[in-house]
Formats: sequence, structure tokens, C-alpha cells
Amino acid sequence: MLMEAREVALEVRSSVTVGLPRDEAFRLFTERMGSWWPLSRHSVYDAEAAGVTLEPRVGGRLYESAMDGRTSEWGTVTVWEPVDRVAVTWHPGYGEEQATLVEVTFSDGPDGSTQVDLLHTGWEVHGDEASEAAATYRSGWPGVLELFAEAA
Amino acid sequence: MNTYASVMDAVGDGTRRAILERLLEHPSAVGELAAGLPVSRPAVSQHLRVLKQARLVTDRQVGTRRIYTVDPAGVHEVREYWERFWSQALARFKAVADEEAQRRAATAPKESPDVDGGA
Repeated sequence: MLMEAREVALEVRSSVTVGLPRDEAFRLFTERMGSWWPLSRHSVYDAEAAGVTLEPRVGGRLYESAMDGRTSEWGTVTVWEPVDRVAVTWHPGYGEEQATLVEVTFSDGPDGSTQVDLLHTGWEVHGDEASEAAATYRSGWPGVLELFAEAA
Repeated sequence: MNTYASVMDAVGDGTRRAILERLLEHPSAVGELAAGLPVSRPAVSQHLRVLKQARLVTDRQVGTRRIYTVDPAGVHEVREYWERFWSQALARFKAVADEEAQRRAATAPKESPDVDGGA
């Protein structure tokens, strides 16, 4: 018998530390996204995928290009704070109305390294009790996630 | 990505979100759900089918009634998918960034001794 769920939410975190200083890590991640994005594994156009571009400004587009020049929008830049933070709406392969949100923050690590923290959030649906809990947990949002994990 | 598509579609609809909200508060039968929503009972059944397909709700027979409950299995799959996705993407970013850092270190003159070199 399942414990009862109170919350249905999408929230994913992922982090990595790289050997570049923060400004370079930020530029590589954003303005040169096409040079590292694993297009062979993650693309809309699969074998015909040619590149991915992030326009470095609020309102800029994040899009994939195909070899024949077609483009497919993955999202729109909503936060552009070089060299600390960038956020984009995220809907590769889907329409804008299906967008979730990806936020990436860059912080100084030891010895000139940079820590990159990615947070992918989307929709959340909760019952009344859980919304009260969510308000309480606002500063400690993972608490709600744990609640959710327990429900599995 | 099938699970992702079905879950995104399922939660993308206002009525289905309202149904989920109610089910999160308490498990219910179709009739109870329809009574509290501005949609017909067949429409609620249809929405429940979509939610069930996305594995966001599950049902069980209790006497003559079929009771629906929230089942987070679909969301778990979606979360796991994105966890894999982002860890792969960030691993690739790290590989390229570290390679670049090494190239720089090889070409730039070293100004300080290795930190882990001890005394």
C-alpha cells in the first residue's frame, strides 16, 4: 500500500565542477554551447542536427539548427547575469506552452575551478495540506521533494 | 520520450491539474470528482484515463465504487529521465571545459607550484 502522495512536482538538480575559472566556464556553457552540447545524444533533429545556439541576452533564443538550415526552438533566455547565472525556458521538441525552466548558477570553486549547479523545475500540483507545507518549506524546498520521494 | 510526453500532456491541462489536486487531498470516485468540477462525468472519466496512462493516478475497486488515488510513478520516471539527461550533458560540459583548462595550463607559464605537491 502506497503512502499517500501530497505533491506531484518536477524538480531535478545536477552539479559539476570544472577546471576553468568562472568567467570562462560561463562563456563556454552559454555563448559556446554548441561546442560541448552532446548533440549526438540529445537533439531534436537526431542525425541531421548541426548545432545549438544560445543568444546571450534576456529574451534570446536557445535553438537547435539542422544541417539544411531548419531550426527548432528549445527555449528562451529568462535570466542573463554573466558570469553568475543563466536561466532558460525549456521545451525541446515541444511547444512553448509545455515549457519547464532550467536555471544554471556558476560559483567559484577551489583552485580556480568553477562549480556549476543546474536546477530543472517544471509544474507542481499539490493538495491543500501540501501547499501549506510548501509555504513553510519555501526556503528549504528539498523538504517537499523528500515528502514526495517517500510517497513512492 | 514517451513517459515525458504523456506526463507533460497530462499535467498541461487545467482540468486534469484540478483533478490531481483533489485526488491529492483525498482519493475519490468519478462521481465525487465530477460534483466538484464544472465538467461532465464522462469528461472526468476521460481525464482520469489520460492521468492513468501517464501513471499519475491509479484506481482500485472498493465494493461497487472505483476509487482513484495519486500515483507518482510517472513523475518519478520523468525525474529519473531528466536526472540522467542532465548528468550526461554536464559530464560532456566538464570534459570539454577540463580539456580547455589543461590546454591553457600547458601553454601558459606556470606561476605557482602544484598545490598537492606537499612541502
